[in-house]
Amino acid sequence: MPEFDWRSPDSFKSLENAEITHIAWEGLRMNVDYQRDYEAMIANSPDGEVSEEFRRRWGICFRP
Amino acid sequence: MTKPQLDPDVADVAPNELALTAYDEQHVVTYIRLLQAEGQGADWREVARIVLHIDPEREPDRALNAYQSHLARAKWVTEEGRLLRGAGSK
Repeated sequence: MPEFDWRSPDSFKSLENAEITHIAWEGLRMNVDYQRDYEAMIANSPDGEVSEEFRRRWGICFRP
Repeated sequence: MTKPQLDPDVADVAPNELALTAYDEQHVVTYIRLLQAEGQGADWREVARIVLHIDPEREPDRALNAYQSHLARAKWVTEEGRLLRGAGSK
């Protein structure tokens, strides 16, 4: 996992030619709203399952 | 997909369209940097200077507008998998 530093554009070099899915994931994982939503969802989900609403809100789909 | 740039200059205000634009694709690293900086509790003035290349001492209004609109756009593009679906799609 590359270590990004927002102050250093060079630390994002790996994204220059990355697949859009990879870039999209990095964007999502940096979004504090997503982080909060994820924490709340996990805390309320005894089996660790991701709710339909959560998937829709963040556009995440899981391949079987 | 337009190739993302690592450290591009930014417009005074981020796009507000309901579809992903070429500007969004070029500035996706800028968006990620803004999101990361916010997550780390960085001072917006430092972020404006370093990421947006706008001096908040000299141009406080322009810097704040650019910061707020680009951060809002960064959140918008990361929601609902918009980035995954690419430009031109709804």
